Formats: sequence, structure tokens, C-alpha cells
Amino acid sequence: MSRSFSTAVPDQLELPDAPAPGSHGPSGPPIGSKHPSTRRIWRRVWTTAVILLIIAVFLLPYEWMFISGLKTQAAIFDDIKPLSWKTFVPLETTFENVRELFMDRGVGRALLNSAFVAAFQVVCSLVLCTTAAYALTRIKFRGRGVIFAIILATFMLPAEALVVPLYQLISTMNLQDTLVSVGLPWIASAFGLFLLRQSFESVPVELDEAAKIDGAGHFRVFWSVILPVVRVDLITFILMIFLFSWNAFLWPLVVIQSQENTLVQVAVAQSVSPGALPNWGLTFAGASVATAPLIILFLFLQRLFLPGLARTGLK
Amino acid sequence: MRDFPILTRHRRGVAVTAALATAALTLVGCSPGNSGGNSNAQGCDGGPATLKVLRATGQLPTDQQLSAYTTKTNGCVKFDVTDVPFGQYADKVSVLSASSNAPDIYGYDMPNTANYAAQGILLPLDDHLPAGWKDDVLPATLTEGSYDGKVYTMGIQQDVLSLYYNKTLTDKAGIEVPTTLDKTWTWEQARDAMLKCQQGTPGNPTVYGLAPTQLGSGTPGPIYSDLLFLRSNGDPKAPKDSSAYKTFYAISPDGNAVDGWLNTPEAVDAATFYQSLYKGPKAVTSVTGRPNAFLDGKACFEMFPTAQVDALKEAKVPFKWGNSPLPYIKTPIVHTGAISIGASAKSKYKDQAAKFVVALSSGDLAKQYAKDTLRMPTLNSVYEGLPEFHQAPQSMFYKQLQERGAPRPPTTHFSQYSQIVEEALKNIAYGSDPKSQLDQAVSQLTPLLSQ
Amino acid sequence: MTTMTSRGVSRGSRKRSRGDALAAAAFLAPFLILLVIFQFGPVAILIRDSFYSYSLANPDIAKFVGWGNFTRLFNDPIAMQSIGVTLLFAVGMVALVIPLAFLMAIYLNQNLPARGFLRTAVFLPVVTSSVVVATLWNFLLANQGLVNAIVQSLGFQPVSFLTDASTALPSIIIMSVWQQLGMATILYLGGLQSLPGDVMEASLLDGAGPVKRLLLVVVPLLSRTTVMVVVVTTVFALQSFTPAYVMTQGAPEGTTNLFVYQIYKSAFTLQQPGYASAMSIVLLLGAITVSLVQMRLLRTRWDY
Repeated sequence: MSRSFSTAVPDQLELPDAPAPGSHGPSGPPIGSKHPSTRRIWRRVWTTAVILLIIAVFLLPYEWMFISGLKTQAAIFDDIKPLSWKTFVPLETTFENVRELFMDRGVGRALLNSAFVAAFQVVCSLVLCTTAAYALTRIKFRGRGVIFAIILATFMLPAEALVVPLYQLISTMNLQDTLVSVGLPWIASAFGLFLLRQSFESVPVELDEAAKIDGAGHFRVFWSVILPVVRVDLITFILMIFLFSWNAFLWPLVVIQSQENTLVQVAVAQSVSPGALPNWGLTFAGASVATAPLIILFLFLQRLFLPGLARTGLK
Repeated sequence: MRDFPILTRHRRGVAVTAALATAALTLVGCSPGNSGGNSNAQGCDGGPATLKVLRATGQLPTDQQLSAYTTKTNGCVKFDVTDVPFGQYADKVSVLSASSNAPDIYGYDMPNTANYAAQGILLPLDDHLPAGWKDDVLPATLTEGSYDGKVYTMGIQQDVLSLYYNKTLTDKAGIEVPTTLDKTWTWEQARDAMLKCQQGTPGNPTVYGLAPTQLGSGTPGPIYSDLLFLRSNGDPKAPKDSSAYKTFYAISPDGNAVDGWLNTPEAVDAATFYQSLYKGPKAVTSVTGRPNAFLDGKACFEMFPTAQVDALKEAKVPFKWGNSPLPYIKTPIVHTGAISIGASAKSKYKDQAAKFVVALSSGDLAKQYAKDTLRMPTLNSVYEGLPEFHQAPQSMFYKQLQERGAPRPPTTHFSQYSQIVEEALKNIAYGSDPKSQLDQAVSQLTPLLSQ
Repeated sequence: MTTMTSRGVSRGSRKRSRGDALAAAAFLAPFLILLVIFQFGPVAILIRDSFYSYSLANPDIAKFVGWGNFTRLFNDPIAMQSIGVTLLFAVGMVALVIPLAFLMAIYLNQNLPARGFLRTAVFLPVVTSSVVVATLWNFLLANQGLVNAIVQSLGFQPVSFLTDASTALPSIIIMSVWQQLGMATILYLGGLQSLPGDVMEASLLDGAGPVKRLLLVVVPLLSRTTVMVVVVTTVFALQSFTPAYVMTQGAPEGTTNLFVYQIYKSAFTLQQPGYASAMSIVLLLGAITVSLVQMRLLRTRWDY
């Protein structure tokens, strides 16, 4: 296995469509059963029921959200009571909500702001965490253990507890209400470093030794030997940082004051609460717009997301 | 999840954390930098200035007002506007006013005047007030804009609640809705009418008697509307030590005590009535409601400020509507106070900022604003000079203000008062015991107010 | 010859180690500096502020109150209720997430049609932001929302999920379970798939039925994973803010007044940042305790 993450997260997680090993399944008759056909039917009914339940519980709310974003508020309420297939179908599709979001409510701006912050955070974290991970895995020096312990200690600090002092710190630097201030406190990510350290450690030391004999310095080894080997893990890393950044809420809510610097999550939260005269169609459309980029990314890159997300468990 | 190095390292990690923490203690506390501004340009009184404005989105001062003022000063005063959502405005002020990026102009909600004045955020305007202004302005506006004998904001507009009704629906239900002050409904009468007009089961109607609230955070409890139930069960003409008198004011005159003001028997009775609008067989509204129910034609009545008039006209609703004075229990009352503007005491351009505030709040600019927006003016001269205000519903709005207007409870801790009392009222609407909720609000507020 | 070589090597390695130290410093410095400023710095400020009473508008007028903020915290019924609610929230989440995620993982570990699709479905809420989840559920659970539409079409009276004191906290617990189930399922799936195959076969040969096998063999073997799920879920619960901010504002009767929301409110609305700092320290200590307990438990298991 060349990928270090796979040691903890088995292959099947990474390849969701791969058939599981073993031949027991709904297609093969269970051995030793007296009434194989009846049992098989019951089993099939049971399996189908659970599948439908999972779909109803996990996908139907999303479906309702996306569809309702394309309805007027009156249509949403008319279609929901009594409950029928109409609840989940946009009979008279309207893009008025989407238009209002982008033209009048500045959601386009908020999306751009969120994208900018995420890009800033991803790029800076990538530089900081890869270099630090290199130092901690490839260079032997005294105090390495202590430094790693210091870094890992920050794993235990809940960001939510630090919002008030962090705000004071950012104001002292005169950075409040800037997009940079949203990402800056989190770019030295202990989680990111932890993720990369495991990945770097899986690269055989022989590779660096060979490069060093050829006269390569640390930067050359870092750039031309290690990074190319771990590039798939770097994508997982990028996705994780992007996910955290895009979905962050409390800190952006506190540090950003002006409407023009608002991020998309804050914009969505504000369209539901404080004095915004919420309109269900509009709010649904906003929530859909804020979620769509991540869902699309997740659907296509699921196998790169999962190992990283499984690691957040360690945080 | 096999390799987990943190296991063996954490002890040392914590020790180092503590050491670093103490080191970093010495790092903090550096003073914010000052960004220099230039002055001294020819032709401008006091030099050209760019004033930073902190404004709630869509509120005062409007872009129109700002550009009118820039024109008026021949470009000497320009503006740099930051918009923040209304629901967060108070939080943002407390955070921004101390920063090096503090605004020069605040467009804030008037009941916060005492709070901001006491904290040294706002600049007193007394040196700049136009002659005769104090005699021209609405008494409630003057009270609300002053603190400790000084005027901090002059008020540009007034807002007032009334009961909007869907005439198409009330006609169908055979209800005649009063439109003049002398025939104002009591809340009992109003609730009966709402009940009669409502369609579907109480608590879960298809057409609401009273639209679910759209004020504040869109849930029950905003001080602006819902504290009126309690105050309206008091009596300002009763002896000053009576609980009826205290109920009407809902806070002691010095703004430091609520025990015996907010949790009187009268207040509890009123809160119980308030609860009945949400719960039980006579429920006419709902705690989690359909937003904009009134505009959608799904509610017979709605409590809303003057702004709904514009919204209704703009939406071209397919029903007839009108305005009734706000119902009362014992004493008719409406809250005054709207968004107003004030100058920052910490501004580099104090003079220009104060002049700007005065110019917008009086004279031509005030008149123009009232004319353009039909929002209630704060100056009697403006009201008299504009015929638009002498017809319904504006005339009724103005009369309510003049005869029944009272500021929200004055205290230098208004944001705390507002937050905690709103929570109590919300819980009451949700079904909690009125007396214990009001008592709890009192015990929570008492230490905060005395600070 | 030999002495020469060894001297040469040792000189070279000393030189290399000094070069290494410099390189390490260069590679590590940016990360460490930012980490100290933005993680340890705020902790230091937090500790200092928790001993003062001041307002954000006038931070210069600060009064030293010693342990005052802390004694006040432990005598403040609202704050104590908030801590209680948060713990209840965490316990409720753990109690639901563990069995559901375990069953889900067992289920998804079979050879199923559309297994990848189902896993994606269960996992979708994990990558959805808490704001969107709260917004969506706010409408799902509203009196006129989708859940009540289903309830009514089944012939029952609608339920005021978020505004009734008896249902509000359970409602946001269920929402959060929905949000976090995918995460716990993935952890359990990883655990299941790392189980040694011979253990399973041996238990099959013993003639143990499927339920017995699960309880007696699989559950104990997955106790490490369970500890991890408990910790992930608890830390998630302790840090939750959005449900209270977006959906309930802590109402009714403070039954959903999550601790982080109470901190936010105390600092920014009630204007008591010093008091909020004291609360933050309690939260910090709580989260650290959970992490330490996790390490303790996992290490013991690891040593067996």
C-alpha cells in the first residue's frame, strides 16, 4: 500500500462501489435454510425497506430543500398540506428566489468571499503544514518530540472557546472585518499537520537518502522527492481544509462586521433569523446555494474525502 | 486508527501549553495603531472629511441622504459606509466602537441612546442644536434622545405600531374594525374579532387571526411590540408607589431596578393574556409561523410598524386592507423610537460629524426625508407642513404617537434588558408559567443593571 | 585510516546536524509562530480576561475581580442550566449515535445493492455545514414544516417540536444525530473491516447465532472504536452553537441554551466579556478532560 491513510481506513471505504468480498448476499441462497425462497423474499423485503428508510431520512430533506428553493413561499405552503407528491416536485418552477439572492441580497458576493477565504486558507495551510510536516518527519533534531507535543496540544482547544480573545487579538492587529482575518487564525492547522505527518512517514527513508547522496539539500528532497509521492494525500488535505473553511460559522459571524465582507454561511443564517423577514423559498434557495459546491465536490471526490474525515475523529 | 502518537505526548504538551500561555500574556495589550488623516484643504470649513458610517442594512442614513449632504457641503464631507444586519447592530456597535476603526456616525435604534451615551460612545449635540428645536420636537423623542440632561440624538423619523387588517377577510367574517383612536379596541375585543375571523383550528389555523410576528428575530417576544401588553395593563396616573403605576413603566426611573416594576401582579395578568393568544382554545396566532402571512393574505390582522404600508402597496396585494389603532388592556400605549443617527465621541471629525447629524435631523433635509418616505416625522413643523400626513392612515399613526407614545424603558443597559425580557416573553408565549418567567427575568437583570 | 575516517565522519555529522537544526527551524518557524500567536495567545488572553470585569466598548476600564467571575458562574442558575443542558445534549447524542451508527455500519458492511449510494446518503450531512443543517431542520420541524405535514397526514395533531419545553432539546439532539451519524458509521466501518477474519469464523464454528455473535464477539472487539465515537460525539456536542443560534435562541425556558451560545450571548449581547472568558475556560477544561480521558482509555486498550 502506497497510501498511508489506507492502513486505518480500509480499501472498501475508499472505493465505495467495489463489491465486498464473500459471496453471501441477497443473490446467493443462504446455506442450510429450510425454506430458501420464503426467507429470500423476506430478506429482500427487509433490505428494500431499510434502503427506503435510509433514503427517506437522509436524502428526502435535501430533495425538499433544493426543490423548495425553486418555489414561491405560497407554493411551498400550498404543496405541503396535505402531503402529496407535489410536496417534492416544483410544479411551477420559479428562479425568482435565486435571482433575488444574487441580485438583491448579495449572495454572489458572499460566495466569492467564502471562496476567497477558503483559497487563502488552503494555500497558506498547504505551505505551512507541508514544510512543518517535513521538518518533523525528515529532519532529526533535538526537541522534535517536544515541539510535536506542543502542536498536538492545540488539538484539545475547542475553537469555540477562543472566539472572544481571538477577536480581541485580531482587533489589536487591526484586522477585524477583513477576509484575511477569517482564515488567518486557522492556517497553522494542527489537524492538517497531523494528517500530513502520517502521510510523510509512509514515504521510505531510502528515497531521501538516495537524493541526498546525489547532493540534494532539504528543500530539494522536500520538493522533488516527498511531495510528488504524497500528492494524493495532499488532495485529501486540501479538501479537508476547504471543508472546514467553507462550513465555518461562529468565527466569521464574530469577526466580520460589514455586509460586503459577509461569508455565505453567515448570510444563510441571517436570512433565517434576526429581523430579515424570512421567506421560506428564499431561505431554501440560499441554503441550497451554500451547500451545492460541497455536495458536488463530495460526490465526485468521495474517496479522497473519507480518509480525511475519518481522521477528524482524532481531533 | 492505529498510530496515535498523541497518547504518549499529551502530558508534556499541556505543561508547555501553560508555559507558553504565561509567556504570551506579556505579549498582549499593545495599543492599536492610528491611521493618520489629512486636513487643511481650501474652501472647506474645518477641512475635508470622510466620515465613517455604521448603518443597519437598508436603514438610516440612506444613500440619498448622504449624497444630498455631500452636495450640500460642496464635496467637503464624504462618507464611507459599512452595512451590518439590523439584528446584529447592537452587538457590532459594542465591538466596533472600541476599535481603532471606530465609526464617526452611528445609525442606531433610539432606545440605546442612554447606553451609548453612558459608555462615552456618542457625542452630545447641545452646542449644535438649532434654535427652538426643543419646542418643535415630539416630547417622547426628546426624552429618548437625551441622557443625563444632554441631547445625543435628535431623531429623524418615528415609527409606530398599529393593527393592520385584511378588510376582505374581516368583511367576510362580519367584523367592523375601528380606525380612529376614540374607538380603539381593548385586547379582549381584538382577540374576539381575531378568533371570529380565524379559519381552521386554534393553534394550527389555515388563516391566522393574528399573523405570527415578523418583528425582532421573527419569534415571539420583541420588546418593541410585546412588552406593550404588560405596560398597557398599568396606569401612569395611579399613585407613584402603586403597582399599577410601576407596571406601566416596567423599570425604575433611574433605570437600575426592575423588581416590583416588571413582575407586578398586573404584569403577570397581562402576560397570561398574552400567552392565551398563542396557547389554548382562544389562540389566534402561532409561535413558529408562516412568515409574511399577512402579505400572503393568510392572516386577518398583523401588528406592524408604519413600514408595512409601503410593502403592501409595493406587493399589490389582491385584498383590501386598513389600519386600526393598537389595542390596549387598561392604558393605550405605543412605543416610540426608531432608527436615528448620532455622532461618535471618539471621532477625529467631531465638528463635521455633529453638523451632519443636525443637518439631517432638522430643516430641509428632514422635511425632504419625511416627504419622500412618509415615515412619521419627529418635528411638529414638518408634520404641519406636509399635507400627506393629514390623511389616513398617516394621521392616525401620528395621533397615536402624540397621545400614546412612550419610549421603551430607559436604561443604560438597554441591550441586556431587551435580551432578557424578550427571552422571558418568548418563553411565556411558548407556554411557560408567566409569573415564574417574569420573576426569573428580574433576578437575572437585577445584578446586571446595578453594575 | 580507521581513526581518520571516524573523525571525518563525526565532524561531518556534527556539521550536518547543525545544518539540520537550521533547516528544521526554517521549515518549522512559520507554522510554529502562527500557532503560538493564534492558539496559545488567545488562551493567555482568555486566562487574563477571566479575572477582569469590563465591557467591549471600553476595554480600558477593566476592574480586577479575582475569582469573582468563576464564583459568579457557579452561582448563576442560567449558566449552570446551560452547562446541564449541554451535558444532556452530549449524553443524548452519544446514547443515540452509538447504537445507530453500529447498526448502520453492520448493515452497510454487507453485500448490498447500491451500497456506495447508501453510504453517500448517510454521509452527506457530515459535509453539510451546521448552518444549513439547522436551517433545513428549522423548517422540517416548524409547525407548518415537513415533519408535521407527515404527522398530520397520519392523522395526528401537529407537534410544536422546537417551542415546547419537553420536545425542543430532544429535537435538536435528533437533528445532531442525523448530522453526525455518518461520521460515526465510517469509524465503525473502519473498525469492522479491520476485525481479524479468523475471529469471525471461529465464532461461526462455535455455532453462535448472529445476534449473540455481535454482542459477544464484535462489540467487545470494537470497544476502541466506540471510545473514539464517544469522544468525537461528545466534543461535537460541547462545541455546538448553531442549533441554539439559528433555531431556538436557547428557548423554551433555556432548555436548548447550549453553553457556547451562552458564551456568545454573554460576551457580545450582555456585554460581559470577562464573565464569558471564565465560561470559556470552563468549556476549555471540559474539552481537555474529554480528550485526556480518551487518551487514557485508548492507551489501555492499545497495550493489551
